[in-house]
Formats: sequence, structure tokens, C-alpha cells
Amino acid sequence: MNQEQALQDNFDLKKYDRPLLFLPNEITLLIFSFLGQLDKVNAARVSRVWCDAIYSPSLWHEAMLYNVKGFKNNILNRLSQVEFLEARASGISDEEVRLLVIGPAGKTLKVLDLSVGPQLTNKCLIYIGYHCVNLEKLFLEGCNQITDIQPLEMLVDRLKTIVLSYNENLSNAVFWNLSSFGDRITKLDLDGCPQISDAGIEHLAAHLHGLRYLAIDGQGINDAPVISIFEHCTDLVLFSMSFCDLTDVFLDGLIRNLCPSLRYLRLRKGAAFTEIGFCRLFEHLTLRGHSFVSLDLSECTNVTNIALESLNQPQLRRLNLDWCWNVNDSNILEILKRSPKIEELFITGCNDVTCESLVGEKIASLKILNLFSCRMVERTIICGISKSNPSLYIVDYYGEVYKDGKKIGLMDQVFIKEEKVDSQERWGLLNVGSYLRFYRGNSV
Amino acid sequence: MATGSTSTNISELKKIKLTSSEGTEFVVDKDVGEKSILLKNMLEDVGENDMAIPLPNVTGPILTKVIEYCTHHRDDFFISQDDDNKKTSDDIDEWDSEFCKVDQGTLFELILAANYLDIKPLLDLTCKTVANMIKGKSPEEIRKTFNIANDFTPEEEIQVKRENEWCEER
Repeated sequence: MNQEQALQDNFDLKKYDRPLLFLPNEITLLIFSFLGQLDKVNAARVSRVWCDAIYSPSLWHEAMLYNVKGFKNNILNRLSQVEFLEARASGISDEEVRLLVIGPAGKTLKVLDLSVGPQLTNKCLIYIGYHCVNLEKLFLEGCNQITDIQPLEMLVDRLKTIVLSYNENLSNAVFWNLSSFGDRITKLDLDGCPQISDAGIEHLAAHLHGLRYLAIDGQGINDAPVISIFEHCTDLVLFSMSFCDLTDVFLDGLIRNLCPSLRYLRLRKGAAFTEIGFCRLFEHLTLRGHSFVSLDLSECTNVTNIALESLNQPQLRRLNLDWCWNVNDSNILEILKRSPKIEELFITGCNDVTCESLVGEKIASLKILNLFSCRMVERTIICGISKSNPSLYIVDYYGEVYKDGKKIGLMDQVFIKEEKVDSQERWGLLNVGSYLRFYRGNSV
Repeated sequence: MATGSTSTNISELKKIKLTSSEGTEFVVDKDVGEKSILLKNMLEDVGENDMAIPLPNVTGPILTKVIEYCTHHRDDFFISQDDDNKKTSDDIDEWDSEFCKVDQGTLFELILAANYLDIKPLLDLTCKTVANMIKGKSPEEIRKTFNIANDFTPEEEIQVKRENEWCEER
């Protein structure tokens, strides 16, 4: 081989060692680190050296597993430094969870989302409990076979967020295990777990005093245990009950034990609360200068116009009064004006509302006005409101979204572009009609 | 006015001299130059000195661009981005985005200069700009953008596609 040939070979070697010819590989990896998962997958198909670079485990700290095709062969290597793994509805099995966590990923995982995994059983928690020593957040929404969380007690020093929602088999026994976490657990989601009863909630109130985020189903749960939550969990930022069987006794208890940190309150289906109860609550909030950021009183039929007259919430961004059918036009504009930061008003199914009073008004902060199933709201009114608020998304009776006077799609298909996806919280990109918008921006 | 200046004002007004690879001398305000961690550390080590600092890895035109960037951001408090933070390239402001509208060769030279001079915000900005040149493109478009040959065999192409099925949306 002559010298020229050698030089040429050398050059070629260098060239093909680098995905970007003029940049050292550590910089190319920095560039690749700004790519999302789909862009990484595309980049891997560019050339061999691009593929090798993209497969570096350091580029996969965050990953979404959409399915488990070829799991053993290639996923495990690439995920050997993964910290945040979302495997929602991926079909991942107990055995695949085991393969993942017995490897290096077991040590690096901080957030693991195995939600919508009806095939997962209690076994996978044993593997997670033994191996995921740095796990901080675990999402097991809709994992119906998971009934025993005792193995998670091994993670008591780190694990702060546990989501076990939509699990019809989960019983009060879960609280006996959770109590060993004591103050350390900050977020607990048990929405859609109908077996949870008063005894469980009492146990929770007695032990989990560090809670900042609590969501429970609520069906069949009485006032006293829920009041005791507010007596003891004094750092609560968010409280959500999606099937609220409570009475005015609870509302009075909430007034007595109102913690200043509480910013998100959801009491859905609180049909037993009375108009007087709401009046008292709203008046006390005003008196103390306490304002929520998100308030969801959907299906609380006694939230009436008289009650709403006392609602004075200057920090309020989201108000959900879906199916509060005693609400009419008389003070909707007033409510919006008293909350100058209001971004979203949901009044689905409020049949007396015409929204006439909003025509010609400019409501600068408002982003979404949801009038789905409001049969009295006429198209001309929607166009009128849209005209004075061109950036406002308005949902009409049929669920169609208007913006700047034009139809732009159905409410579950329209997203607000400026809203960033925050995969860590999963509540990032939400369609304009979703009730889950209630949870936006909570920092727990 | 001059009588009222404090010692901090004096140090802010201090100038430093830099020499580009061609030997051209640049005079910049000290606070602008110190956006470069390399220069900052050098100045701390050397102390008061009138000597020009040679930058043999940086050409004049690139140094001019770097100084333009550091001057525009002279009052910014550069926060070192935590590696745990979510990485995104969608957060480039207007001035920065205009600043990066240069040909690919210049952009790569800027990256190398930012890396050598240790100016993390400029390195991030320029790398994000390259990332945005990759985003949303097909493999073939990426090859064209960066002049890369496809060295996969058809079998390998199928294999890579298969290997990534787990991370593509259903």
C-alpha cells in the first residue's frame, strides 16, 4: 500500500467514524440529545454510523415504549441508562418488566409508567421493589390485576408518587402498605378505585401527612374521614374526588380546615351539597382571601346563580361547571370579570345558558369556552363572541370548536399549539374539551 | 461622572485583547470576553496583563460572530442547564435564531469555537439549530442536508426499521 493510499484509507476511516464529518462525536451526541424519539428513529436510518450514534444509551434517558416487538433483542441495551420510561398500553408483561429491571435500567429508572397494563400482575411489583432502588414515580393506572403493593415498601426512601387509579380490584389493604411510607409520599392517585371505603381513607388521614396531591373516587365515602384528611394533610395542593357522595358537613369541615396551599379542588357529582352550603363555602373563601387555580364542581347541581354570586376567586384559571344545570346567564359575565386570570370555563349541558351577555365583551385571559350540549346557545351568539375574542376556542352544542369565527374541528381533536408537552406529568398536551385540563400546571 | 465611578465600574470597563488564528487582534470588554469560561479561567490564572490571548483555533470571522453573541448576551445571567432538565430545541428566541442563519460550514465552525472557548449557551444554541435541521425530516432528506452516503444494505435497512418498531407510534 503506497502512502497516498494509506492517507486515503485513514481519511475514510475518520469520515465514517463520525456522523457529522466536521464535528467531534461528543458534540454530535449533544446535537442528537435535542431530538425527540421519532426524530431519533428517523436519524438511525440515515447510515450505519448515524445508527450506532443514535443507539448510544446516553440518548435514551427518556423513552416511550409503544409496543414490545423484539423486546429482548434490542430494547434492553438501548435502555440501559433510562431514567424516564413510559410504557403505557405497550402490552409489556411481568417477564419483560423483570428483564428490564434486573438489568442496568433497574438502577437508573426514576419514573416508570406501566399504565393500562391489564396483563401485569403483583409479580411485576416484586421485581420493581427489589431492583428499582432509585424509583421516584410509579404509574399503574388501569392495571386491574395489581392488588398487593407490599413490595413497594422496599422503595420507601425514594418513591414519592404512586398512581393506582382505575383499578376495580384494589382494596383498602393498599393503605396498610402505604402507611409505611408515612410523610414521604407526596402524590397518590386512587381515582376510579370503587373498593376504597371510609376505613381506608381514615387510615390514609392518620398516616400520609405529606400528601400534596390526592385523587380518590369517593363513591360511598362519608364526610368524617374526608374532613380528617384536611385536618391532617396540611400541605395539600390538589384534592380531587370524582364521585363525591359528601354533604354540606364536609363543606363546613373544609372551611374549618382549609389549608393555604390548596389550589386545585375537584368535587365532581356532589349532588348532595346544597345551595346554602356552596354560599357558605364561597363566602368564607372570599373572607379569607383564599383563591383556587382550578375549581371543578361539575355535576354539583346546587351550584346555582345565587351561590355563584359569592364566588370571588381572583387567581382562578379554570372553572368547570359541566352539567350544573341550574346555572343561567344572569352572572356568567360577572364570574369571568371577578377572575381576571380565568383561562377556561366549562359549562357543558347547562341548558338555560344562552351566553347572550358575552357578545361584544372582550375577555382577554379566556382561552376556552366549552358550551358542549348547551342547547340554548345559538350559532350567531358563538360567532359574536368569537368575533370579539379571536384567539378564543369555543366548543358548540355538537362539540365542534370555533376559533376566530371559523369551525376548526371536533373538541377531542383540537389542541392548543402553544401548550408544551410535559411528559413528566403526562397532563401536557390536552385537547380543548378534556376535563383533565383541571390538573394542568400543578407542580406535584 | 468619572469621579463617581466605583471599582466595579472600572473593572467592567477593562478591555482584553484576543488574537484570531490569522493573527488579527480583537479588543473586547472584559465582561464580554468572560462569557467564555476558557478566557475567564485564563485571565484568573494570568492576572493583570496586557498581552493578547492567542486563539489559534478560531478564525477572525468566527471570532467576530462569537463576540457579537457574547455582546448581545453580556447582561444575561447564564444558567448552566441541568442535565436532568427536559431537552428541547423549540425554545430559541428571535435574535438567537437570526444569529444562527448562516451557512452550514459557518454553523459548524461556530459550534467548534463555542466548544473550545467553553461558552455553553452558544454551544447549546448552535447544537439546537443543527437538531432543528434534522427534525421532521426523512432519512433521505437528512442525508441530503448533511451530504451523507447511505451505506446500509437493503437487508440492514429492514432490520433497523424493525429494531425501532417499539418506539414508533402505533
